[in-house]
Amino acid sequence: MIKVEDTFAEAFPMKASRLIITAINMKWAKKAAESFCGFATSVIACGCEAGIENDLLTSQTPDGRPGVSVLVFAISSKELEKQILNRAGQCIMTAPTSAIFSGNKGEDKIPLGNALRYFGDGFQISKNIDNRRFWRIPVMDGEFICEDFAYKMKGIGGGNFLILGENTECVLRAAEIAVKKMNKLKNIILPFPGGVVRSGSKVGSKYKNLIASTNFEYCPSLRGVVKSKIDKNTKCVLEIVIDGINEEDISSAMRHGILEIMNSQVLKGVSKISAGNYGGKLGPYLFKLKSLIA
Amino acid sequence: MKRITIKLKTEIDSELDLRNISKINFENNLTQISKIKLLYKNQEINLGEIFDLKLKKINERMNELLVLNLNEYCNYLGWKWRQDFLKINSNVGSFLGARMSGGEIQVKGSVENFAGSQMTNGKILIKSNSLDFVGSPLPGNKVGMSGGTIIINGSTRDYLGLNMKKGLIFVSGSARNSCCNNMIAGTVIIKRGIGKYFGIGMKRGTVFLNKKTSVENFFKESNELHTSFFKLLYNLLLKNHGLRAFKKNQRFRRFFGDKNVNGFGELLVTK
Repeated sequence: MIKVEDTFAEAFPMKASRLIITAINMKWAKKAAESFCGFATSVIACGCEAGIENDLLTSQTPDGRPGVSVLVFAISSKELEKQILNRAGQCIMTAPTSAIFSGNKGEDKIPLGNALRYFGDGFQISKNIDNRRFWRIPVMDGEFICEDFAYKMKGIGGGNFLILGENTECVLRAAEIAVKKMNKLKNIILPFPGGVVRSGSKVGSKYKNLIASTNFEYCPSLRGVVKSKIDKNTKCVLEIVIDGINEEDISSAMRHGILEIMNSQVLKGVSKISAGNYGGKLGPYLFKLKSLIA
Repeated sequence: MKRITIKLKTEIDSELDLRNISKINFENNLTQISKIKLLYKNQEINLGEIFDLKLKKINERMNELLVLNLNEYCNYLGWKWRQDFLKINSNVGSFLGARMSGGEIQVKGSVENFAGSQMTNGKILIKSNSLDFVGSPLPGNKVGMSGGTIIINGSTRDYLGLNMKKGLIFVSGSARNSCCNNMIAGTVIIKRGIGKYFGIGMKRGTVFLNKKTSVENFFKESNELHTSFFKLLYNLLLKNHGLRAFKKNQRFRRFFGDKNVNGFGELLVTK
């Protein structure tokens, strides 16, 4: 029996944007998107959190080619702009046959083609079709097509839950099962490698320049040394972090993930589901585990 | 939403200036609307004197103004049109949708000259033919249409897209002489042939042609272009306007010009 702790996950507001990346086939669309989302696991040091939201059919992309939808989250608008522009320029424009489009509408613009166009050195061509502007930037395989602007929207970062168990194998297996289910949902991303994080962090450190350090309360190796939140049978804890567009999306993702673990017949050794929070001091969004699965 | 239908009562045999029809406010009643001033035979008349008016509630996304029984003497319809749907069930005169900045105009018949001149946004759909100066500057001005979309299901005559700065013109049929002259930017798609003096003074912009024509004097051939832009344009036109601008996997020969003015205008001719 897997126990769900009576606790809550704590999340905070972020700035987000959705981008659509297309290419000649899904392989190259994925390569471009994966490159774009590389080194974007945590805003602590990456500047943004990004991930592939879902694959898109040819009927779902502006240019009728295979593509993927990517969500990007950052703490500030300025950082979001910077990260999207840099990543689009270095990871999408460089990928063969790729193109990038805005995946959401809004009031606040993020320069995309509007800034990248200068790479065309005067040979770029602007096309305004039905009030959407695209840039055609000449590159060595033809043209890089890029929408003029992406758009900001509100997002939420830091939704999470912890999986506690007797050994690494069973906890990792549980995390994989949850991630597989959650990856099918829209409006969310799981920014960490494979959707799972082992180095859960707390705010601050004994070292003054470090803004985050290990969450010692959940480190099995420190049990007995510090005030631990795990019992003697818990040998491994893994966390799944969720960024989403709104509270409902994150709640839904957490519910699906937790229920998938609880309903799985193959998992033995997983003892508890918990969540990371900062006592309600960090963010305004609290996701109570018991309520989620009720 | 509301539909106002105005039907011409008498035969028009002289210039009728309909530019004030764009001042119709859908919140007003028919009495107020019938007092809108028009210019007929250089005399000011009330709209109610020559039009029958009807008002009806409809379940559409835009208010609709339906104009019936016009002819080629009826000019300036849709002048500075800003929003709403203007539907014309007949032929219409010159300056249709000139300086329009939004909304949609649909003409079941043909139009005379200067359709969509200096328009900045919105959409004009002409189900038949048009005469000269589509999307061009108004007389005495220098810059043509700078946004929006003009779709002509038939053919057009001379000076299509003259001094055009932005936007899209789609012609299902052919265009005649001097089209895309002095074009600054924008996109023109002509599905059939063109006449003489094409693209003279063209600086930028893109023109799609379905037929090889004698443009080589002014244009320099480049390589065949491989770009997803064609797919993007094909998709957007199909989705937003139901148009098949070219074949889905169409290949194009690319020309640049007008080389006499060091222009970077792009001419794409189907292969």
